[in-house]
Amino acid sequence: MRKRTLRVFATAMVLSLAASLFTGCSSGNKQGSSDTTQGGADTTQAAGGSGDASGSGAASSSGKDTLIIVTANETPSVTTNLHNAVAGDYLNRMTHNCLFYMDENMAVQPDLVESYENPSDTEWVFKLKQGVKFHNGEEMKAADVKASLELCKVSPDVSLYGTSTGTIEVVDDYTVKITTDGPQSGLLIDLCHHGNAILPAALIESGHDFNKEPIGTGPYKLTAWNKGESLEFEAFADYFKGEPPIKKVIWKVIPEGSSRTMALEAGEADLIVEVENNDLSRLADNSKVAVFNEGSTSHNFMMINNEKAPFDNVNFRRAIDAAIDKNAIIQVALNGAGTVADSMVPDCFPGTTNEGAPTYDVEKAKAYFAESGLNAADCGFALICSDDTKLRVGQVIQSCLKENLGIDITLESMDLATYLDVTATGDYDAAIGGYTSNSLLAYAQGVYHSDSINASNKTRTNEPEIDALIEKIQATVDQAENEKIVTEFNLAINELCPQVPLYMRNNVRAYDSGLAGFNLNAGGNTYYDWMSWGN
Amino acid sequence: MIKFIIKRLVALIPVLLGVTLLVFFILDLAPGDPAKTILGEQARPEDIAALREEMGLNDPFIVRYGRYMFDLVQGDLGTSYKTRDPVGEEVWARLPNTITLALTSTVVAILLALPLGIIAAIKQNTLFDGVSMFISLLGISMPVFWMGLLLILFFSVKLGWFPVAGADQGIKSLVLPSVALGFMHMAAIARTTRSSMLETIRQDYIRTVRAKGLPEHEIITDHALRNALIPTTTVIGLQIGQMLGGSVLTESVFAWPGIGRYMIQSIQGRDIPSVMGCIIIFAIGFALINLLVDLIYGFIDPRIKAQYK
Repeated sequence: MRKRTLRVFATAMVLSLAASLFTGCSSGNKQGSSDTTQGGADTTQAAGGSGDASGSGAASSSGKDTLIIVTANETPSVTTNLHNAVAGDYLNRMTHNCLFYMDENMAVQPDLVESYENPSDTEWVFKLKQGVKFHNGEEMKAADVKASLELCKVSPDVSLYGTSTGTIEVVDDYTVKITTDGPQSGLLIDLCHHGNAILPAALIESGHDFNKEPIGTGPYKLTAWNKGESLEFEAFADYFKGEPPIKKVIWKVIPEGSSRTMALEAGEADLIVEVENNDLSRLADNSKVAVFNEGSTSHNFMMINNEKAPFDNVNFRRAIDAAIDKNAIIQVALNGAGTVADSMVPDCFPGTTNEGAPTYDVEKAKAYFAESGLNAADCGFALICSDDTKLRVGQVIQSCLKENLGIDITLESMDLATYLDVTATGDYDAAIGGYTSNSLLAYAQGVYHSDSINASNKTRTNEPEIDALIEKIQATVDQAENEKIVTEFNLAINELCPQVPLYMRNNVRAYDSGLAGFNLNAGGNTYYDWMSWGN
Repeated sequence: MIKFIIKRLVALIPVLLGVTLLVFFILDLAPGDPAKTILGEQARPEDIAALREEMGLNDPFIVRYGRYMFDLVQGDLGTSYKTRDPVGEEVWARLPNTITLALTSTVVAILLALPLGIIAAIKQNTLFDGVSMFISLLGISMPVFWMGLLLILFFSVKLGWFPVAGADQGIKSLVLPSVALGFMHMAAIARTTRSSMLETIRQDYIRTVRAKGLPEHEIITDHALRNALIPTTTVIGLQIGQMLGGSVLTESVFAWPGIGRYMIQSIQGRDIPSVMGCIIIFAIGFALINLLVDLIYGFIDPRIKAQYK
């Protein structure tokens, strides 16, 4: 009897485990899904032929109408004013438009704006395109622009991009006037940021949950967000620039770099956003994969606390800058996917220059060090490295400083939250960091202006002359004049050497070679509605 | 039995209170400001201050903890600092995936471990024993992410049998992560089964049934294994508990949208409500699994069942 009970129990256990396996699988597919609008997509079918692994490289592109993009990070939000995450920016570009956008050459171009004029240094009048539809069918008008730009100003995640917009007035249904608080040369660039994306005023007012249903004017509509897994989009038929050629786009989250590469090789992905440096050569050798590997605006440097000794000595700062072999860093840490940075600002913007900035030269480094009057034994410091790539950068710096100047440094690993905290408050010696910006003005304000101390000015540079030059760049709307001041500022900051520039990281993407119209500007913006399959 | 279950469930309340207080306190002490982490490198001081105020981070510890507990007793796990979505929604969206992976991995682990452990015990000091223990040693020594990548390379890229990553292809998506995770957990179960079987088959009552002439397979399955299963069940229960919260690497390699990865991301972002939500779910899960293990003891050994009052 007891034996029978045990057997019945064992059979029941096996059956229930098997049942949980099957029910679990189906729930895994549906329960995580939060359909946002009509027509939730069937993810399995959505592979559109690319889901079948061939094992011989990226799948054939013929007959596809789906693009599967793989990324490492899931966005915290798809609501344009509630995040400043790169992962979210990629998605916002699909569902929303701003008044302006940055083209492939980083030039500002009108997007929702038909034309604009600048009657004085502080007045901007924008004529909006007519007939632009939101995803809910409503027409975009001037009241929507005013409500959206004002929302940006009061949202802490993006308000940085709402400081230049001043007072916003609706002139008529298709005309908006902005009166800035003093001349603002960065206005048009700020208007390209997703924080200033245009949303329907009525929905803003009613407290609509844009994270569940992001309504914009963009080329794609979000159809489903499977939390932790994927986001699905379908083409917006009434898009004002015409319905996109690729009808369905799926963003999949794969955190592990090698798995992302293998997903592309197996044909499960069509485009990888973050490519592992170690996999670059393998992917480049695959005839079915195209690799994009070009310069970006991402300036990476060793940030040093200028308030602390020995970094308060300008000759010491120059000495360590000249003692570090930046080419070695690019090879060791980035597998070659970058270029040497010598200038104290990204040298991709108009008016910037390398003049006056130290370059790798061991003899000069020794001379600067001698001039500093410091003793190598007293100059050791701790260098914070908050991820694996930074750790590899740190190892090269450690070796260079020991070999060339006899300075011992220690490498300190730290998680991102702690790193952000200690570097913002100045409770550190040195750290590997970076800053990505779409304009020189934003970079200069964030990295060197004294107003940003205890935030993004981590070198704690506090020079009235530098502040004045940054404010002058901000206030000079005339482009030619603006470039002259940028050069003046760049020379001054190169002379001051408040940080040790290391490299400009490349933008790297790998994608199915059948994908046409791939585009990516130096700021990392891709316009997915420009892409198509075949030809 | 019902009384026993109710007593155990009531005992869960002080455990949960202790866990919430401890985790809230530790996260509060940890360096790193949630507002700075959310706003990133380019944040301005005024934006950080505004976000801190919006998230209620300027209130004293006791006020924040009290507010959290007040919401919790009403079934509200709070709002994520990072996503601004209800933590309950975020956790429930991922929990079925985690449970599915934990259960299927357990099935894989048990199917591999029990035969290995039994064979190793009854063929002690033979080649079978050596091979069985070598396989279990391999399971415990091989890092799960490496094992995962090897499985992907062979079964997904070369053969194309299973998807590389994700959970969108039903059972096909589940096979490789379950094998990778199950193989790792198989080792402990196999070793425990072997040692408890060795101890059991040397008992007097086994000698007695053998003397009575029972066939060897009946002696092993009906008499020895049943008694040897008690420590094995304990280990299986602990392994399931670990898998509920500790399969982060497997989830990352296979892009499995589970709760482990979500919790690690929340810890890194100092997203206290999300971390608390995950910890509470894990604590409840662990306690329920332990309760289930205790009940299973009763089915295996009626002497234990008699003690459930």
